[in-house]
Amino acid sequence: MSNPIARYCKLYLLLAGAYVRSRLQYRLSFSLMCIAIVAGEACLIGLIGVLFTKFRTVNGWALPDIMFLYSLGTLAFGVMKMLGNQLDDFDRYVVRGDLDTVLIKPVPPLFYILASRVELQHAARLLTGIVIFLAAFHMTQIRLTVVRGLFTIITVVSGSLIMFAFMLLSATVALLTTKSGKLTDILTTANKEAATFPISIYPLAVRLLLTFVLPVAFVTYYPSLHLLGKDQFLGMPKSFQFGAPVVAAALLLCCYSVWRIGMRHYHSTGS
Amino acid sequence: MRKYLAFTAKAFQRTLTYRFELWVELFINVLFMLIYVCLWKALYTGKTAVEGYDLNGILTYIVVSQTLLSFHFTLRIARVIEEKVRTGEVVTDLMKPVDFQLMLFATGIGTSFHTVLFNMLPKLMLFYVGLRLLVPSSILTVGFFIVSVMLGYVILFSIEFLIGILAFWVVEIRGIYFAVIWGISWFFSGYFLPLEHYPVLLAKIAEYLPFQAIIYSPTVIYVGGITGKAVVRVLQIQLFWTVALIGLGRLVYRAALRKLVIQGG
Repeated sequence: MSNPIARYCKLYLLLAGAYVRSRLQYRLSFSLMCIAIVAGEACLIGLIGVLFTKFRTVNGWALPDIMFLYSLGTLAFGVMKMLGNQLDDFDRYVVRGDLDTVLIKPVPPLFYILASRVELQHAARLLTGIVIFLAAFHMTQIRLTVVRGLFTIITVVSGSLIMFAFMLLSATVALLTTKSGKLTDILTTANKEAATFPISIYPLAVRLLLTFVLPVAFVTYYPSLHLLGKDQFLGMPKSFQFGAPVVAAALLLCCYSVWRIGMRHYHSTGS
Repeated sequence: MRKYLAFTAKAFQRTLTYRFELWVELFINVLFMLIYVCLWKALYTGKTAVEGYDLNGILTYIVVSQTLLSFHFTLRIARVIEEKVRTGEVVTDLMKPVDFQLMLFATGIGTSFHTVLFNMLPKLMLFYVGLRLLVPSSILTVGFFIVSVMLGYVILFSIEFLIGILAFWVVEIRGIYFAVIWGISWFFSGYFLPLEHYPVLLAKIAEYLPFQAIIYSPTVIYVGGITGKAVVRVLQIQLFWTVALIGLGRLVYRAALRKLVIQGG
């Protein structure tokens, strides 16, 4: 066990496994959470379905195309929620002083925070996302090749990292202000929502915002242009369809640096 | 009455402390509303009126319903009760010489009053400046609208209260909370699109559920989608749900007290 990476992997599984087992003790709560997640997703896609049976298309995007955007957003969101949800109510973590106990552990704080809580129930969200994705693929009659499959997986992973970066940013706000609950909620859900529709419906300023400031367009829109073979780059470079991993890496690096600065300025609340 | 007002004032002050967060919330709320305004503008290109709503009508509907939705974000009474049960804080509440439901309602009002002043009104005004939205046809309509909003608010509170009380039985209510408030309630509340746009069967189901009384009822009164006797009827239905859900909440709460197990703080 001299290899540090192997050691961290083992530690991660150990910590995450303990948490998952503790959660599974409450079968009823766990099943309810799963049902709730599926119901929530079903309701939203249902509403969109209702909307598009009435209006057919928006800027040339029909229901299957929108389902496509939706599923990419949901999958990225699901992965992020499953593995990074500890940062969701990070303000309470800070207020209660739980963070202080993390800081005395002999592992990097962020690693411990993430490993100590893996929310398995979001697998239900991933499943819903996959079902919607496959349904959309079926409806658009685009063939699901290995290359497209790989592209989708890379897109989803990058997308979840982009969303995770937002979480890290609002967790940093929690470090410094001890309050971020709503910020996290809204930053992630508003983003997911914005990414559900083709960004061509927004005015230029919002498109720029979603591309360069809160680059959620790289989670769904630009990759979808590639998969659906649409040519609606709206004046942006065509290479943006492959941009998700680059954006994810850059954003994560930025937000991680900010987090590090936040940690350096962290003062315990003393409660 | 005085003691409950104290809870309201306390909750209001507590919300005031987090200024930065409130600005962020307002900003992102506006972004959220902008998403829907853009969506509907795009949907309406080449169309004049759908189901009785022209573009300005539907935009007014969306702006008002999205504004009313803010109560969902800030009330969070279910989570408050869950937290109280989980930490055992509920014991000290039970010792207080106040009614538990009223106390939480007073607290909720404090938080929500702040939401109205610093979040909902500014948002509404901003969109009135930016878009050509409809104004209610008469002062009377405004009055009905305000009554309807208040009834809808009590209904939302009562539903949250009921969910929160479940925490006395199950360890974690987050699942139920999300399923009901962010799932079923959203689906049937008409926040996303007016119920007139729903398929007949779904609209019929929505009609028999309390959720449409939270957002759809006040909004449709505001935009003048219904007038005259129909308004009175909508208010009656809202009143029915208000009384029924408050009553149900009290019943379930009484049952919960008999069941109460404190897990130790």
